[in-house]
Amino acid sequence: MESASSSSSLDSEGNQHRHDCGRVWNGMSMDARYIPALRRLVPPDHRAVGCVRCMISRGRKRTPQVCVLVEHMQEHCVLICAEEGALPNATLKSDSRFPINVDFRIDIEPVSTVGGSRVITANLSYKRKKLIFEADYDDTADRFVKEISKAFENSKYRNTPASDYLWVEVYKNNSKFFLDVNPEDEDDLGEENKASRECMVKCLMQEREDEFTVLNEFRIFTGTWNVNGMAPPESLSEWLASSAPNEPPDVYAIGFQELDLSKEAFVFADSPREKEWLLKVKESLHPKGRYKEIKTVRLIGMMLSVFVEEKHAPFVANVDCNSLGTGILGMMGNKGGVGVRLDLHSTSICFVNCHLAAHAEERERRNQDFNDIRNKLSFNQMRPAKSVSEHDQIYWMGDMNYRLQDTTKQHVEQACANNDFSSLWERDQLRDQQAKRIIFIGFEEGPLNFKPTYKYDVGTNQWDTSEKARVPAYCDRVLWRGNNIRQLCYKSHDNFVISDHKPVLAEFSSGIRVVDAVKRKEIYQELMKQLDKEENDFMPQVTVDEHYLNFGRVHFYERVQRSFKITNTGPVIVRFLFKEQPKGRRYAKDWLKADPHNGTLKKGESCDITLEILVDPASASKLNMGEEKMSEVLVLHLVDGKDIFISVDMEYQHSCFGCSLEALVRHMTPIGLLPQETLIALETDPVKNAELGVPFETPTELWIIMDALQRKGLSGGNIFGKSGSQVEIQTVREALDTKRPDGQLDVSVHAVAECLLLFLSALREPVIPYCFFKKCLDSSVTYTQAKSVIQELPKVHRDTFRYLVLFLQELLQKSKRLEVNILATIFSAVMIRPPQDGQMTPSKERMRSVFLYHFLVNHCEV
Amino acid sequence: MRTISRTDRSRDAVRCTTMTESGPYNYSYIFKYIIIGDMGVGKSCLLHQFTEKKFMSDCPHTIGVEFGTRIIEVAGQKIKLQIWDTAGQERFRAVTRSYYRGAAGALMVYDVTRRSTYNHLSSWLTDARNLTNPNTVIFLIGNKSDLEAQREVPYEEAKQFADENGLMFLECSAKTGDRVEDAFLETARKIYQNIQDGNLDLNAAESGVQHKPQTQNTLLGNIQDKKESCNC
Ligand SMILES: Nc1nc2c(ncn2[C@@H]2O[C@H](COP(=O)(O)OP(=O)(O)OP(=O)(O)O)[C@@H](O)[C@H]2O)c(=O)[nH]1
Ligand SMILES: [Mg+2]
Repeated sequence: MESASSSSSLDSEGNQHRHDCGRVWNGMSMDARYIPALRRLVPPDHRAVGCVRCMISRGRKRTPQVCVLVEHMQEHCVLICAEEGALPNATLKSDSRFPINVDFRIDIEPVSTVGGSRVITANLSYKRKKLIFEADYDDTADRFVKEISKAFENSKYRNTPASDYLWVEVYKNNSKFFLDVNPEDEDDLGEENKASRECMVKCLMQEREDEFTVLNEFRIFTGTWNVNGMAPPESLSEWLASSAPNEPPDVYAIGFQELDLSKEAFVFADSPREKEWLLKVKESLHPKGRYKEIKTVRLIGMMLSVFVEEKHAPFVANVDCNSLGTGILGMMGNKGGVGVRLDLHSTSICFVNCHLAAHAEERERRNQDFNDIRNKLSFNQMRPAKSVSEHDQIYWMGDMNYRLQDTTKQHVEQACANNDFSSLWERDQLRDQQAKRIIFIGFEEGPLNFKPTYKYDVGTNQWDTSEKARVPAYCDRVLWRGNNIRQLCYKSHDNFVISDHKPVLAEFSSGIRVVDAVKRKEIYQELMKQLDKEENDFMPQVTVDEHYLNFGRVHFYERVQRSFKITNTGPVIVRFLFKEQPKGRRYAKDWLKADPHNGTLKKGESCDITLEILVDPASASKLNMGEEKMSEVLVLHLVDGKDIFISVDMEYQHSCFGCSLEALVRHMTPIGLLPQETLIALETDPVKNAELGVPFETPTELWIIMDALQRKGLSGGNIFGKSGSQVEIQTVREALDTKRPDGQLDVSVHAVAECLLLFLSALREPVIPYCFFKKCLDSSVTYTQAKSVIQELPKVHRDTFRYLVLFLQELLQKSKRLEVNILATIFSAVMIRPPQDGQMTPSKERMRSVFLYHFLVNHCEV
Repeated sequence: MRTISRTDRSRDAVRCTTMTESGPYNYSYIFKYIIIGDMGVGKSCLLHQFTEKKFMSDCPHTIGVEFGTRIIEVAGQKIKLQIWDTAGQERFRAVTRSYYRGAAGALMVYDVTRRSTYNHLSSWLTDARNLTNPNTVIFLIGNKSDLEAQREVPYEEAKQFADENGLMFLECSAKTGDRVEDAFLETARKIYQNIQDGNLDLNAAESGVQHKPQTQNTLLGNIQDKKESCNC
């Protein structure tokens, strides 16, 4: 477990975050490294009180997690979160929630030392959900646990009734809710879903366990006796069969200490005493019951045997045992504990028998011994291993050796004579240490309404008459922990005199969960139905106010926008995005853009999505020719949900932008006034469908542009330095499409210059046709080579090229501010374009610029 | 070559959510279904009736693709059906075609009270045949059988069409719920039988079936391939 750093100063990273987020309180109970993640997790009206990294054990699972305490209107909830990604960019996803209300419990254990580091442990439960929290002990962890405790205490003293904790729901699926929209992080989402569904079924079944299990009362008999190494007496019936004659216990757990004090017992695994005693025990169990031995475990002098009535044996499962020596080197089993665990129907039960350090002054040793057994005794055949605390019911017996302090033998004798046992309890070390929360936290013990069981003169009922005259003590005890356990009786038996201890018994009526198979199946099926329904119901839902957007007539390079509204009408937060078209195509044709094209909507929230059409030089020719449909269906996809189609229609007004030089020189009617079919025919076969027998040398449109530039003056600085406005560009386009010749274009020189570039880059086939592209680059080395390429061009291309070069030379002469290589770069980019699939590289760009450069600096000879 | 949008992958993940150890919660297969047919024939109502056991009397046209899931049992095996309900409008035909791929079952629906919806079946069938794999179970459904008085397509005629084209067939009513379950379940049984007979290669991306052995947490076959199965 990585140690949680103690809180450092709060950084302001979170502030630049796009999402609103909860108030994050920079308290001492907060691991500051998680602040950015918390800002994403916690909504604005909640407050993160604390946060630590920890280990969480749930049943058999033990996983590293992050525990967060959140507050909303003075109510608190503990979130158990999975941490995804590395700090400081980690994301927290809550996979279970423990509202701190009447159903909540917290049980803080004393700080223990595990493998050299100190660990703070707390048991948390909410209804039937249980888990164990462990964190490296430091100020942050300590305060964090205290904050939970405090919240729990406060929850009992609220002056307003507790809410239904619906506010916690927001964390249920937060993996999707507050996740930053960063598609790269999304890959693990699937796993997350898998885990949560798995958890959900388990949890839901567990939460409804009450409905398909019934609590059956079982009689559980526990007995403990330190037999001082003696052979068993004639019969143990008085002790073991002391229950009501017609009520045989269902379960027996009998613990012995000092069963065998012989040296051999330390050396050999086998002990003849074990057999003797075991046999005697079996003979002495309740005569009305038939018992099956489930397990016997022995560690030198400590032995624990568990029996169940035969009729229950089929319902006992997962039996395991282990022992833990706390003597010298933890090996010599003169002190320590043994345990047996089992599942009886669906209740897990653990029995522990222990023998703790002796002598009145060794209280600390006893405490240490107890906590060692509690923390280290584990059942390793279980997968994963189960500790003592991970059981529904724990029965802990043994010779605990805790003494009566600050009293005298006389006083004890006096009190016992008066049946005034309670005056002794106050002096009992065990009760004292338990009250100080050092040992037996969460355990209960019944009233000790019997005489201290130690130390007697062997063979008598007299307390120690030796010189030492020890003060009698309640060494032999039985405590329990768990729900639905009622103690029926707790007493000792004086008539056994072989030992210096008297045997003790405690009998319980314990609620054991018995599964009703039929009910269980019913509930399971109901649950599956419910899950199906939830899966359907909890799918993201949105409405869009417009499924169909008609853009009407759209012109070249004209920006047109339409919007629609998307509203989250479902029960969960929605992430939407426009889905890519099949074959890896963009989500829409190049001339269509959606803004935003993805986003997140909280419940009830809506957002406007703007679709914008802009037919640029790249799409102009295809649309002119009707090669590309003027409609589109966008697929608006909801993550984990449905797809919605948004239809877009427009009517593109064909234009001289996007025509070919061949077509442009062969027509008289302005392109904008031609029917589209005529234009398509002209483009398909310019010679055959020509309007002009003898074509113009260069397109009239180009001439109009040049003329306008000349009129507006070429001398005023860099005419390509600025772009024209939307309106200006449309004015020029309109003039060209209708061929209004010498119309005084009321636009800036920059707008006309931009149109020149647009015109050239929209040409269906560039001035240097695609098929000459490579040749052109290869011949860029010398002017002579470059010239020979131009000689090969089709006539209109050659003529247009010459026309442009002459214009550029004039421009260079008139405008002192324009540099030749800049001009060469700008114009080569629109005149010398790579074929459709051609990739541009910086070196190719340089070469084409050099190609044109030759013509600009030399006398034009083409 | 194909790019799959991430979102589909996460949806895909939902499709393989299963329990690992507690046997009874497990389902071993996921079948993808698509529902196709002219607009207004009752595709969405059928889905709703199957998942929610309710009839929607004024169901808006589906403009997109909707989802429903339900876990069923066939031969003691739990099977999760993941059903994609498509828009029937002609103008979306090109887009909805991209959803056919990877379907294990195709429910092809017409409306017994409108002959035109029956007449269009051959075109739907062509799509279904061309865009799914050869083992995809195509089930013909004549919906709105409750409207006997308005019937335009006799049962026998459709039955003959189904037989000629090797389709499974039944008439049902999304309104009364009559035989709706049968349509979905019989399709699943047929798919399951194909698996048992070894006709279906579960490793193939297009099979539309994901198998999950009860004891393991992994999908059989190449997950990457499966991920593609839900998209284009
Ligand atoms: N009487 C009757 N009406 C039905 C039945 N099934 C559906 N309808 C009605 O038919 C209409 C269309 O049903 P939908 O389920 O929306 O049809 P669809 O096939 O999903 O249509 P698109 O989403 O446009 O492709 C609705 O008004 C339903 O109430 C049925 O079995 N009997
Ligand atoms: Mg529909």
